[in-house]
Amino acid sequence: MAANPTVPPQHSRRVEAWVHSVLNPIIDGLSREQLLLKSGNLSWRAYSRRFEYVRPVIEYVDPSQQPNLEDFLNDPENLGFEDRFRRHDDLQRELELETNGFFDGLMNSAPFSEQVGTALRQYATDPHSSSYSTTMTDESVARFVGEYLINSIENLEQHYGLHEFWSRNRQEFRRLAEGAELGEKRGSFDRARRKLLEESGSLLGQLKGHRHYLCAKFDVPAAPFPNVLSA
Amino acid sequence: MSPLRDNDRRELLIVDTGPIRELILHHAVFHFRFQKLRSHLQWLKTQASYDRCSGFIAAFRQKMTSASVVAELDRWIRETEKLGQAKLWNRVYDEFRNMQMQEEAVSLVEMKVDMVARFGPVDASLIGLAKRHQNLQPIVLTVDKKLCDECRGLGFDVRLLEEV
Repeated sequence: MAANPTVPPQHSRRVEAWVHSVLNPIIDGLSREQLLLKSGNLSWRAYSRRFEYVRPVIEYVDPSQQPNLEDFLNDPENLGFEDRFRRHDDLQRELELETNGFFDGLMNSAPFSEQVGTALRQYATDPHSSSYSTTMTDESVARFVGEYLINSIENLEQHYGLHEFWSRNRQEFRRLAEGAELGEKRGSFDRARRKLLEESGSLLGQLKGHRHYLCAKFDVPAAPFPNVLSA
Repeated sequence: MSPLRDNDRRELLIVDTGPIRELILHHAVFHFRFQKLRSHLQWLKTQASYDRCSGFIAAFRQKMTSASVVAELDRWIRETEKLGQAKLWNRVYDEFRNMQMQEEAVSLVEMKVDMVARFGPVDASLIGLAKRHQNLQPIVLTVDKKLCDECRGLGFDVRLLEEV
């Protein structure tokens, strides 16, 4: 009987490529995503309006390996993953939209702008405060504060320009961000974060299980051997 | 050498590639769990060493580096991460933005040719910055002993990361 041409043979290089260049980086990316979503540090950046380390699934795979991703998604061994990735990416996009909406709400909030301006003037005139860059405007500081609030930053590194300013004022900024004016946007943002956390955790579990299934069925290693790495 | 105390707070710190690289790596490994980068850390391997370095840098009102250092960071990122270089560039951007790092170019013709020949344009650019801002009594922070010796020979204050 002729072999089924769609089933890869044992020790298949194709399956190795799926595991090493598609599944492993996605599993690594989703593991980090879980850590960040759980801790609340979403790695969101005001300058890019994106999460640096919470991305659509395709972006966890190096661009040079996209053909292996397409091959993985098109093979019947891996049925269902295209839909799972799409569901993850829809929720990731929803969270990004809600986050941007919450940030814009903060930037357009008069009480928030006033609070940043007042805190900044108090800080600048306090002889005991360490200096921040004089080139920073109220607006640029407000953008940093918004970013720190979204990322649930507790303490900034000592050498960061706003370290002391943040540690003195973060409670007041948090109170404003959770107050009535921004409460709805904050609520939508939190719900979107929880939905992605759940979906991403479930996808991560499924991918780990599928990696094990492929490695066992086709007898391929889950990661490249050191001698393969140096070849 | 002891770290800076409050009463010897300085105006300007000039930062070489090595310390920036270490700050970026420490954050990437310990905050974002990029475990594959752990083996590249050489000095800031513990929270205590990171905190000492962070505290030292915090004692300066201004932090500055040269455009040549950014080019050297690019070379390091390309050598360190064959795939996914954006994640390290994101860390560089984060570090520069949050530190409010200033960046100045020192043109090749501004630098002495014998110095460029001996130390390369990156180290020569840092010495160039120290000369340019001599009135602010800058300190140069580096991991490079050769640059350290040259700075001291020229009368500039310099610290090795391991001394901080």
